[in-house]
Amino acid sequence: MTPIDRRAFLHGSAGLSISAALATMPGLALARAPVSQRLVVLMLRGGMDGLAAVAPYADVNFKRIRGPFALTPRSDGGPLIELDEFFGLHPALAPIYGAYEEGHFLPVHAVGVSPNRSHFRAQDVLERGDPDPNDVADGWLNRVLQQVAGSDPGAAVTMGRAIPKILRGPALVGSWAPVRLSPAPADFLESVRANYSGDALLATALSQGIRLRAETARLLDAEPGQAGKQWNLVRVAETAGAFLAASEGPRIAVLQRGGWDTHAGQGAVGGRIGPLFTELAQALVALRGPLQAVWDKTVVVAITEFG
Amino acid sequence: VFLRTGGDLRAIALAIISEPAAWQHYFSKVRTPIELIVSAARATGFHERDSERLFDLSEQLGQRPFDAKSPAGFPDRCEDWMGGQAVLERVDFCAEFAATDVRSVHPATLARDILRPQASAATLTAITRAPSRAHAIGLMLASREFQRR
Repeated sequence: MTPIDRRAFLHGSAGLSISAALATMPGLALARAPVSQRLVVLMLRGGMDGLAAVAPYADVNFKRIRGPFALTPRSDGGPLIELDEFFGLHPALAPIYGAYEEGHFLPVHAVGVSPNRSHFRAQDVLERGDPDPNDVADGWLNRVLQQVAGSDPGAAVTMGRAIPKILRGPALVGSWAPVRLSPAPADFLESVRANYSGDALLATALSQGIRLRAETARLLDAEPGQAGKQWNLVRVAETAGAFLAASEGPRIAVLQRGGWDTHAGQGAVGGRIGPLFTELAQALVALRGPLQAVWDKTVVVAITEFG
Repeated sequence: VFLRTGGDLRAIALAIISEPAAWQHYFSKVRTPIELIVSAARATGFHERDSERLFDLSEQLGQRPFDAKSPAGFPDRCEDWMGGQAVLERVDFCAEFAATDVRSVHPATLARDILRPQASAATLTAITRAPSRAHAIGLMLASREFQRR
């Protein structure tokens, strides 16, 4: 495995990172516009169990405290994929083991601000980028946008309908979500567009939505068989990758996946967490697909909190 | 008022609606998806038995009732609902709702009753001149006067 230089990571070399809290991002080199680097932030809401994802199998207390949920490494006949002599990767995350070998995947354990056991507050800290979330009103990615993107509403996209806190603030951001409503007919859209001409907020958002929809239609047409498939995180991630890969596309994307609050029925290999890890790993692979050409300028941060 | 009356709800309610600030800043906010859907349903005489349909529509516009993704609840700043895709889907909703869910409503009367006195002449004219009844009702629901509150 190629060792990861922390500075290189911060300055936009390729990487997938699973991090327990926001610690490293302010150094990210996005300060020059126009920006060619891509940043994807994947919020794992509910508190992903980091010790299940990357287990410290060699820690003497791990087996004692975790009991039957403590997996053992392959060298001991268990399912954990050894990352080194101390940590092992959950078998459902096997699809991203290759990225680890390349030096592109850096797990970061146990970083953050002092816990107070509130997911609510911890997510606020994570999204506002301040140990006291009451001190700042906007999300840290919105502050990044204010610095690098000016008023370009196409610079960042959230994969979902509502804009998460991390992106909220004065800088305009785009949103994208798969559609189930029938698209409004073109003549109707034209009437509405005319009606919004005196309303900057509605007019800007509508124009951007129309542009994104056209772009998506183009992307999906290029891949027969995509239509009708379920919109899970994997497909959303692939779509985000395609958006970011486009030369005129956004440079920042935010994805979210809830359901990590696996207090009950978490399981070890099976249970609730196994399928979540499978989906996560497949999503990270799917995201990379369209981004391969710009992968050395892309940072993907998968981030969670535990209160 | 709360302290003075020992928490008399009637006195508090009267104080709130007597406060001039409560009557200013019309149209400074945008309706949330649920507000939009409920208003659209109420404006067009939607029947209660179809409430499941409204629930489904709320989910499609990203605000499934009682299911906020954050413990803080749904966002309450209008910018948070104003992503490009989100606004376009609100427009989709208005077109689809007008075409499939609204029965026997006269668009011009509806626009007069619902949108006036706030509606601009341009909006009323556009509704009157729309190519079809569904288009007219959809446009009324999608109009900036109806989207805002």
